Amino acid sequence: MSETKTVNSNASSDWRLRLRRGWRRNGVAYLFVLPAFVFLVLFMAYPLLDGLWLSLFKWDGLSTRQYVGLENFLVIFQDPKFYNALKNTVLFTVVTTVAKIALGFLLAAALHMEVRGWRVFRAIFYLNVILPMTAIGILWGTILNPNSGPLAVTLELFGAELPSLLGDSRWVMWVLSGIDIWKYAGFPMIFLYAAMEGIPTELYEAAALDGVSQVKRLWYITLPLIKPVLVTITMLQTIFSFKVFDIVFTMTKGGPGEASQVLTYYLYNEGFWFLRFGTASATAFVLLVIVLIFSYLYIRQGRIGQQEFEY
Amino acid sequence: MQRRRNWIAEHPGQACVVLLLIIWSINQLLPLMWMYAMSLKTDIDVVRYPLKLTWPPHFENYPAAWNGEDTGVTLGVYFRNSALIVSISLLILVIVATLAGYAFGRFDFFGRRALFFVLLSLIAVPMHALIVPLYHELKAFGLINSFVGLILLYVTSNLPFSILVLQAYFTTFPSELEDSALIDGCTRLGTFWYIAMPIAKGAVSTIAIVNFIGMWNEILLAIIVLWENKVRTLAVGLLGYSAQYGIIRWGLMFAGLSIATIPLIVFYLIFHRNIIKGATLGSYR
Repeated sequence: MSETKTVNSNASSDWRLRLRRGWRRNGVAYLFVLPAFVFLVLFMAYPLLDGLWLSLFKWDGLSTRQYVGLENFLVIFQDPKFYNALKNTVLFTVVTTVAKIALGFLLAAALHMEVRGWRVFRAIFYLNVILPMTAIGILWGTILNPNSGPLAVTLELFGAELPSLLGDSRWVMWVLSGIDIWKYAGFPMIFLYAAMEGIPTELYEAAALDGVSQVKRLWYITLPLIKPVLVTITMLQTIFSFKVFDIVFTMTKGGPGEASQVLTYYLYNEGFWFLRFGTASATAFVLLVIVLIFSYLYIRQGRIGQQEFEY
Repeated sequence: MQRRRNWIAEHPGQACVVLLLIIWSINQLLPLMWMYAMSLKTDIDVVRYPLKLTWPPHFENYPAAWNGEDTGVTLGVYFRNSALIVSISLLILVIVATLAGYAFGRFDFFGRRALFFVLLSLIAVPMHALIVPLYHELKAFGLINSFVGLILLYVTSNLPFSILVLQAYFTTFPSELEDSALIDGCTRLGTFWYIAMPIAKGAVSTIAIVNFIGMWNEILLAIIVLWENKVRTLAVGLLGYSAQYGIIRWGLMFAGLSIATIPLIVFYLIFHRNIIKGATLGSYR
């Protein structure tokens, strides 16, 4: 199968020649990627564009759509409940991410010491991550029950009383944060532990010879060397935390009042409870932009981090 | 005992670390243990003695919870739904993702870079932001309350990441095996089925395991596709327990939660190495 080169080939016919040549040799590749892209176009790309388009309309799902331009955005940007949801989401993200990363780091460092049976501990610490949030949420709901829950009963033994934590608008986000941290602390731990494994042991041995204490070793050797991964996993965790929905839906449904409202739940509510699909789509757009920004930063950081790590 | 005390004195750092590990282990496991203990009690005992174990254990809570007596939370039905949806989704996902990953990793075709770039950018898109258009799209296809609808969504949401992982996996393999097979007259599809798939078994199983957990516990997409009670997945169906009024069957509820978690724990005990390894796939190499 020899190719004859045309005498006067210009840029455009060259392009077509490449295409035909590529097809003959690797046409089957297109067939291989086709099913994947059918899925992606149908259920990701199209809804993405449709959602963007929908955010410019007022629609309740039944009657005809009404074009309102950017009014939906004005509506949500003037809605105190939207800002409340945004505030709660940001607060939740910051608190849980910092706590989970810090805790994950400490736990990973503890595992890294490889005391006897550390694998058992590692397995235990990741267990709650894989359990369904609905089950965990209901479980904690009963644990924190101010009347008959075990926590309340234990406190009663000491003469104290357990306030209705989930029913108190001042405490509810903190409680949800606490439960989230309890459940997911093992997630960053796994990443950080994997990073720690890559540190050559000679560094520790040299430090030990010089009489450096464990804590100092942790702070001055481990921490700086895993910094790229630390930053990467912090960003990943931030993205995940920002999309928080399950725990709110399971435990408080945004309540009491609006005290535990978060962005995704606000979006869900606007669309499926109030049937205001236009404003819901506008909210989705905001959520999308924020997440995409962080994701872009995350991917960029991942690339930089990888280069840095491979010195 | 004296030996242990000596050890603690000689290794104060390690002893502290072990203490921390034990404390956190108790913290992680205690609520679960409590849940299983409560599941074996009668309803009255759950409220009366939330801190004690009672005797005898009331195992009948479990079949009652499975059938959804008095609670309307028919775990048996939900379990079957979840099992069906997740297993079919995984099957389709593995085939489609491996095909695409193989193509991206092996072939150099016109437009490969562009398509790959599209794929990369889709990874960042959260399905959360698409629930409104997805709902209406599925409604237009008549796939609301249908398993097919949710299966399609589960496959799609996990495709970009899975393809990326498989593509990276395939690029690390030399192509001699396939080249020799092609010379011997094997078709491209044949090389995929007989050579590529077996090679990728490790990556495929890790992807399947990690995605299994995500799909099993997922609720946002599940609640916008499956509205009727009898088609709901397990994770969503459990929420029925929080909507109980009047006399709450606590024993059944805890048994239900236990039924929902124990299979996952067993699964985890068997596969935890794969799960933990798979969690770091792609994000940190």
